[in-house]
This record gives sequence, C-alpha cells and structure tokens, in this order.
Amino acid sequence: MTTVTLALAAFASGAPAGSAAQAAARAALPGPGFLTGPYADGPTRPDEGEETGRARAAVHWTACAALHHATVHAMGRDRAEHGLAVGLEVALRLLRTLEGQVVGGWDPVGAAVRVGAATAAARMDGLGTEWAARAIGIAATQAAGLAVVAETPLGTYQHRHAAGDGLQAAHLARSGMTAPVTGLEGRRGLYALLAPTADPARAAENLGERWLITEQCLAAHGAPPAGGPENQWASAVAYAREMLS
Amino acid sequence: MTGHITPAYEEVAEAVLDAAARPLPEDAAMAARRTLYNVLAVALGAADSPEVTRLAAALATSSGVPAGPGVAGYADAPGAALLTGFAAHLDDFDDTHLATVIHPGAAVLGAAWSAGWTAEQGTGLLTAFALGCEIQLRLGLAVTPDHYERGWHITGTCGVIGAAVTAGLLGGLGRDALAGALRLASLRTVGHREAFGTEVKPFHAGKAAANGVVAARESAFGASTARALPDLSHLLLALAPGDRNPSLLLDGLGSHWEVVANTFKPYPCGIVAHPGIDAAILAHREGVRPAGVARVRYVCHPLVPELMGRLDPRTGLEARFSAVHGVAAGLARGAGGLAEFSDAAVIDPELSSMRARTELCPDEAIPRDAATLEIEAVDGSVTRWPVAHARGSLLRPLTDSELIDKADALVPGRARPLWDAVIRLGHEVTPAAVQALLEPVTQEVEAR
Repeated sequence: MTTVTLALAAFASGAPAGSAAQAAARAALPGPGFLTGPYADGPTRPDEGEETGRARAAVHWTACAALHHATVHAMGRDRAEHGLAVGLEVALRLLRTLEGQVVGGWDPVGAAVRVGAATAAARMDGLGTEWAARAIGIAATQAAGLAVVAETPLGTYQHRHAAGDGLQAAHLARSGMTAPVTGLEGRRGLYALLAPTADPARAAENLGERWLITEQCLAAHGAPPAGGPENQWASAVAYAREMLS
Repeated sequence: MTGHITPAYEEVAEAVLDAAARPLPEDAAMAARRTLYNVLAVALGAADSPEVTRLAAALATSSGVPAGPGVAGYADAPGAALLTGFAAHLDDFDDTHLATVIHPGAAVLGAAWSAGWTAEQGTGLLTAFALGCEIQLRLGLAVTPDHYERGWHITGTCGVIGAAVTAGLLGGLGRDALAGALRLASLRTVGHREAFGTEVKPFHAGKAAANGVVAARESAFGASTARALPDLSHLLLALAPGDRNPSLLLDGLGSHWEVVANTFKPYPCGIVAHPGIDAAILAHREGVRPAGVARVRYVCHPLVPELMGRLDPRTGLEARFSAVHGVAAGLARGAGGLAEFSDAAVIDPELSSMRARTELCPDEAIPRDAATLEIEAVDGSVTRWPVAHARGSLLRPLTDSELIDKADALVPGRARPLWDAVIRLGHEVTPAAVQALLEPVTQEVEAR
C-alpha cells in the first residue's frame, strides 16, 4: 500500500518551504478580483481552460482558509506563509491527480480545498505527522460537491464550506479525533471513490523537491489585492475573514 | 441505469410538506417513536465517553444550543447537531435499515436536537423525525446497491438529506425554502467507508446532521439558485454512477413507510455480525467455553468479511468491525454488550486467543441475517450452532420491552421515563412536544 496520506502529512508537518515557494504563496494571496459577484466563483475566463479555472478556484479557497486560520489564531506572518505554501501545494497536487479521472460528476475542487485547508492549518498548528494525517483523513472523508454547479453561485457555496470543513478537520484532529491514515489512497478512500483510475501516488511524487506552486502563475489564480506587500497581506487577510465568516 | 424522471427539488419538498400535513399512520408513528427512543438512549449512553467529552470540548461555546443529550455546556447549532449525531452513532449500537444498511436515527436525531431548540412554528417533532428518516431511506434505496458497494458510508451521504428535511420541517420552511435546503444539502454529503474503525465513522453521522442544519438555515440562498441545480439527477448520478432508481424517492410517499423496516441493534457492532454473536451466546449457554474449543468455522454471508473482517482489532472501535471478536466474546462471556466491545475486552487474552482460532467462511447461500458456527472441540468432536434470523432482524425484531431493557443498560433508571415521553409524541403535535421530550434530559444535565 502506498502511504500517500502519511507522505503528505509528513510534508505538512515538516517540509521547509523555500523562498521560491513562499514567494509563490504570497503571489496567491486572495482578493475580491476572484469573484464576479457576492456568491459567484468566477466563470472560466475567455483565455483559460476549465482545468485552469478549477486550479484558480482551488488556490483561492485554500488561500482563504489558510489566511483565515492564521488570523483567527494570531499566527506570525512567517508561519502563516509556510502554512499557506504547504496547503496550496497539497491542494494543487490533489487537483492535478484527480483531473480528468473523476467519476459521477463529483467536484474535484472541493476535495482539493478540504485537504489543502486541513494541511495548511495542520502546518500552522505544528501538528506532527500522525496528527496531520488524521486531519487529512477527516478532511478527505468529506469530499463532496457537484462539478456541474462549480461555476455558479452554488459553486461558491460548496467551495466556501469546503474551506471551512478543512479547517475544522485540523481542529478536530488536534483535539484528538481518530481517523484513518489511509484516507486518500485506501481501498475505500478519496481516490477510490472519486477517481478510481487515478494514481494516488502521483500526489506525493517529489514532495518537498518539486513545488507545483512555483511552476504556475498563482497571481492569476488568486487575483491579489493591489498595493505594497504589507497592504496586500492585510487586505488579503481581511478578505479571507469576510469570505469564511 | 434508469429511465425514470428524477424529481425536482421543489417536487420533493412539496411531497414532504404534504406528508407532514397529514397524521402519521400508526405503524409509521410507532416505528418513528421506537427509532427516536432507541437512538436517544444510545446517545445518552455515550454522553460520558471520552470521545464525546473530547468532541464536546472542541465544539464548546459559551452560549447557544445545549451541546447534546446528556452533555453539559453549549455549542452553536451546527456543533450541537454534530455532537449529537456523533454520540448517537459512536458505539455502533443504534439502528439499521437492512435493505440500505443506513443507520437512519443518528443524523436525524442530531438535526432534531439542534433545530428543536429554536423551533417555533414548525412541524411536530415526531413527524419531522419520521420524514427525515423516510427521505434518507428512500434516497438510499434509490442508489442501492451501487452506492454502498463503491465504498461510500451511506449513513453520512444520505443522512445529510434526511437531516435537512428534519431541520427544515422543524424550522417551518415552505416549499421553495425546503427545496433550497435540500439543494444545498446535496452539495455537502459526507462519508467514505475507509473511516470505519475510527471516530470518523460516527463523525459522518454528526457532520451529516450539522450540514443538514446549516442547509436549512441557509435555505433562502438555496431557493434563489434553483436554476443551477433544478433536480436530484446530478446527485443521484454522483452517488451511484452505475445504477439508480429515482422513482423510489417519492413513489407512495405518505402511504408506504420505509422507516417501518428500521431495526434496532442488540449488539454494538455491524449488524451482519449479529447472527454469529447470537450463535456464540447460544453455545455459551449450552456450556461451550473457549478452553474447550480447538477452532471455529464461522459460516456467514459474504458481507461479513467485507464489512466486519478485522481479525485482530486493537481498540474497542476496531472491534466493532471484527466479526471474529463478536464470536469470541459470545463464547467466552455469553454476552455482546458494550463491555465486550471495550478497549479492555479487546486485549483480554481469552478473547484474542479465541479470535485467532475463528475462521470466517463466507457462503453466498447464507442470508444476511443468518450464520452457523461449526465448533470443533479439543477432543475432535464438532457441533453446529445455526441461527436462521438474528435477534433484532426484521423477522425477529426487538420488542418494546427489549428496547427498554437495552436503554436501561445504557442509562440506568432513565429508560422508562424516556419511553413514556417518547410514546406521547404524535399525540401532542404542538412545538411544545419538542420541549416536553428534551427538557427533562437537559434539566438532569444541568443539575449535575
């Protein structure tokens, strides 16, 4: 059995995010430019494919979750950036491995956001590998939502709740809730149910060595607020709190 | 694949409201009372467990809804629903609708507990509870067997919809708003079977309750987005890509009641293992003891190894998914109660040794509620212990008296007053009935 969940948990609990990864995470700070209306995930833009649109949504909502967690728990900026980088990386890896393989019309973005948000919070909270794996397990088991509504106001609804579910998963893991450490790759885990032909092991390939977040233009996904770095951070934090409150 | 037309959310809501406006048939009312009584007793019995205590602390707020049956303190409305549903399913001692293997009471109890505290104009508790069970069971039937066989925990995935029905009815939602709640609930189904043997399994029931409560609270948004998701076809396709039958959702609603087919567990573990435990207890009563047993061939339905196949559980929760543990407990102790599925029982050398000498022998010809133990004694003689229908199964249901005895073991001294309160439900359909049932429980907690 490939221990993908534990590999991602170890990554969440310990992998250093280098300067490039942190810079990429900063470029993904969320802002109001993402949404076209108060309850609408932006429709796929004319110059991007559906796959990019899904990555944009996953980055946006995972970042909102990470920043919300950081500010509610008064995390320092450096710690928050590490959590953000790790959470975004895991979310993108999940999304990439699920893309094109999902059966039945489930929404892969919701799955990526839940696990990414849980991972970001686990990192910021300093959870060890076993506890981070539980957080991932609690988040993964809630993978739900329908792809058909992803670009409608209901898409925003399901993605916003996915972000909250991920943060709650980390909270419950921290409180001691037990969970499977094979929540992703297990015989009845997330991949088996949402995308049985996908290879979960790909989500853990070259973890800590290759950062997907440095290879994509996350600024376009996150549509960060204008202004200098400090203003951007403060605006993004305020925006994330508003989105998830 | 089906050719039936899938109902719109508004059609489902209208059918539910029509059914809610009529008196429950007596068989459905009694089934709902027994379901509510059983699951409430199970939740109360788990209230002091470390798992519930820990979760209550994690969800605690300084004010809000009473956190859960028998639990001190408060939570917000989704938190109280989560905690209550979690407690109700924690010990796997609640109920099972055999055709779908849904445990219908837990998620709906969570929704009823949470929404019941603020209900002012809504449907009476018993009707809201009965219809929450009914709609989730009908959804389960519509996607059975494909959905569960793929690995989904049907109690969580269908429970969200049932919880939204119950919370919506208690909240007095009209047709469009209730349809909106169901639409939102469809986007937040919960549960993979990978979690079995951990606290995430009861979390599924609790989170389903919470998500249903939230969907009811945000129903106006769901009503305004009808065009994006007009009917249940996309949800049904996701739940069961291989085969589904949408007609089962509403056909006969109000006249035929699936909740009547709900059954109640005499043992705190997966129901497919119950006939094996029955047979082991029978053998124990006839003098068979592990010391005299060389080995046991446990002839069972193939779902037993699939769902209850853990051979060497390490915790009480894992033991709930170990059919060989249930047989070992039955042979060694002549019982299969909470004590036999505790962490301490799991490491009992007599039980672990007996587990190792028990072999699961699946046989397609064995019905789900039957099993035979072939016990080879140390002297080489073999005796057979067949059980045609397990205790608590549809053909051998627990009587009211057995249900009260079960509750008395869980909540000593409180089983009879609770029964009396639940039995009155349906005869008083005003919202006050909610308080009449729930207040004594809360007063007792506050007095501690």
